Amino acid sequence: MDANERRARATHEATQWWNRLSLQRPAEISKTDRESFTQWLRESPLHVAELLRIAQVHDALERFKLWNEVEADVTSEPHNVVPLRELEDASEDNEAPPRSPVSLWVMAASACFVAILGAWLAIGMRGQVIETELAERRQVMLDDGTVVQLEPETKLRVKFEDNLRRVTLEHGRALFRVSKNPQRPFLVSADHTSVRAVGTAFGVENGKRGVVVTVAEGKVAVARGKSAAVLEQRMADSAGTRDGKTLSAEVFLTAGQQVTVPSSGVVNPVRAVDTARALAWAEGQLVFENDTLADVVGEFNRYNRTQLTINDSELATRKVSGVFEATDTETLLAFIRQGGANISVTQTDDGIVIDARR
Amino acid sequence: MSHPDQENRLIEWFRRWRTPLRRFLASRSAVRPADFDDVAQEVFLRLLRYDAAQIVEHPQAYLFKMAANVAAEWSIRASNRQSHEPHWLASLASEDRPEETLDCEVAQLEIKRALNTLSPRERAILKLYFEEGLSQAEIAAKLGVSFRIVRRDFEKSYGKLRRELNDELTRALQYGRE
Repeated sequence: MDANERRARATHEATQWWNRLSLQRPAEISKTDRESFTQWLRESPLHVAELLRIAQVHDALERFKLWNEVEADVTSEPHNVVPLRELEDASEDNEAPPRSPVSLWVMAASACFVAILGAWLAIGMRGQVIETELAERRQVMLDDGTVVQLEPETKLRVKFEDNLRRVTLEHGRALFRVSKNPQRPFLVSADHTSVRAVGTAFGVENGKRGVVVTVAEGKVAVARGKSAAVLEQRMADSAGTRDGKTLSAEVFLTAGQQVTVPSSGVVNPVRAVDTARALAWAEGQLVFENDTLADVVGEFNRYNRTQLTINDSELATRKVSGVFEATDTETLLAFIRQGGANISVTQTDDGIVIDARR
Repeated sequence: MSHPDQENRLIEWFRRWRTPLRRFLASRSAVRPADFDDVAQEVFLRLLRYDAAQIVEHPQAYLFKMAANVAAEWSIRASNRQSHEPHWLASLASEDRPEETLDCEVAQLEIKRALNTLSPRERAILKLYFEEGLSQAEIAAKLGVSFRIVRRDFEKSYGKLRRELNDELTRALQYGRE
């Protein structure tokens, strides 16, 4: 669909909604309709724009005063001719409120996940703890269809409520592919930072750098507050009355953006990142940029049973940059050996010891 | 319409979201038609920020309230940006402005022109609805067509008028009056 077709489609859907919500003069709107309408609005800015435009058209007609000058002689249309529209109407009787192709796609996509992962691991969990050990990587499907990929030494607490899907990342890092449900936002809390999403893919890391949020798809809101619950409540309360004012603590991220919230609590500026690189860990790759060898080894140790130890303090502070397969210790060791002839790598019963040759 | 319960519910319904709608319609004159999609984009982002469960209670009220706020903020920003255009400031949301604008003869004629691009039946349906205040079911009975046709004609004519009505023309009017 090109831009004009999308626009025309949005206009058409907006007129259908306007008819249902306003022209038919309903005394009340069913919850189902209100939910679908809300979802439709939240699917695209185009939907919002067209609905507002249709409201303007309606306003113009309401204020129009020259109806007596408008020719509307229906009888001039011969009665024995059945308008074609009548035929197409028959097929669309009781037509459901518009559902955009986007949501269909999301449903299809999550159905796929269900099919693939359901057989592998489907856990119905309420207030449950999911934890990975050293060298363990795990992909888990939550009971709403959201897929979480946990990196080693990661601990998650999952608690789903009727109106909110709440996950606490106690430590470690995880990639979330959130199943879309606008009525039930997905909230990840990590160290007093909360990340709110509707249907998107993003990574959250809770480590010594603080909390790092990287968005691969869609859009999330990141907030730092006393507790996610308080914040959530405030957001709900302030909706409509003081919108735009109370949310200064919130940062919005879209695909390709990253924000770090250090333990100090001052949110760093949002930065554009190469998500393939920033989320490389989700693909089993470790990316280092000017990190100390000690950090690199620490990171590798989380992904591997064979533990590496550095016995030389000078060596430990050496800077390393590079991309490694998380489980490929051999390549890392080869890389370290290139660092100079004075480096020794010894296999012991406790693992691999890296030392300086004196 | 005469049933008191029905009447009360209608009043309630009106109060809930017609007031925000009117506020939006009043403030939108501060937004240039070219900027309209940007305003909608901002409204969209605000809709995403809020708890959906909350919005679901009164989606139209939330939508128009946010739209009114965004349009008002937009006009303030615009007036700061373009201080050489004093009407941006003057056009800041005022409840009666749309009436003023649409009372203008030019606006009335523009609407009439747009209505004349519709089919006779589409025009008749709108006329019965707005001039005589008939419901869609009553219109269907009166014209001897199915309810579905009335509904479809409404949707079609609103879509046509959305393309046909000249925003710039109806919007530009109020400056002529200042």
